[in-house]
Amino acid sequence: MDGAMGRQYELVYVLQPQLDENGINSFDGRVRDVITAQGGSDIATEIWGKRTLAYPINRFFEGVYILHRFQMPPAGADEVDRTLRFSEDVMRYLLMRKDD
Amino acid sequence: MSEQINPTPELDESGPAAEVTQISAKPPVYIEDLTDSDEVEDESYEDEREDEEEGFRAPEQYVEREGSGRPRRIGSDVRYDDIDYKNIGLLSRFLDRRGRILSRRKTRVSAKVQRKIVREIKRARHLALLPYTADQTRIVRKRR
Repeated sequence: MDGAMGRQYELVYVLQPQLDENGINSFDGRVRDVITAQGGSDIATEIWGKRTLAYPINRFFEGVYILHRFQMPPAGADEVDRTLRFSEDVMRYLLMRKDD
Repeated sequence: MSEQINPTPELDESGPAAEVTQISAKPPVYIEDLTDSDEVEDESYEDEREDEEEGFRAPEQYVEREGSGRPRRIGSDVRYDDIDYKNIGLLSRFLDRRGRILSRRKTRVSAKVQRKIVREIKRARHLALLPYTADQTRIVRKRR
């Protein structure tokens, strides 16, 4: 356990497909800002792009997948979670601790 | 990592020959092969198939089947660290045609590995990387 220094997290979220490039980038930026504000660092991003969903969500058949890996003190997780939960563009998200 | 996963159990001594050919013509289990052709009629014989699997538990029969049947092979090359919700190709080998998670009796993997597979499949389902049921997939495919 690295305790208060920060833990390794992995975050994936699925955005609504009708967002354009700008919308995606600005949302992505917002998420990074929240993470940084919570003391997160080493943010690595993988944009998987638009994928077909395995089942429809909110009548959408595609979604934009974005993955972040970062280091953050555990206290910040609630705030990141809240940001994603209250964002209407996020159809699904998964925030996980990656302990090795 | 063989692409050929044979989803049909052995039917040698049981079942008429016509049935055998019908079943073996079906595509492999993994998700990409869920086609629109699996309709209601599949379900009836899939249940039959399960009943037959109940019947082949005797050890000596089991040895005979070595190397030919699905049960021993499906998860034998899976490394614990490769099991991840992002690794959809691998996880979909552990789903049947209707999107259900295969039981440990069918996958023949260790309890530890099976637990991890189940956990990661459920994560992938939440993110819509894998279906909860096969007809959800059919809906998406029809749209495209």
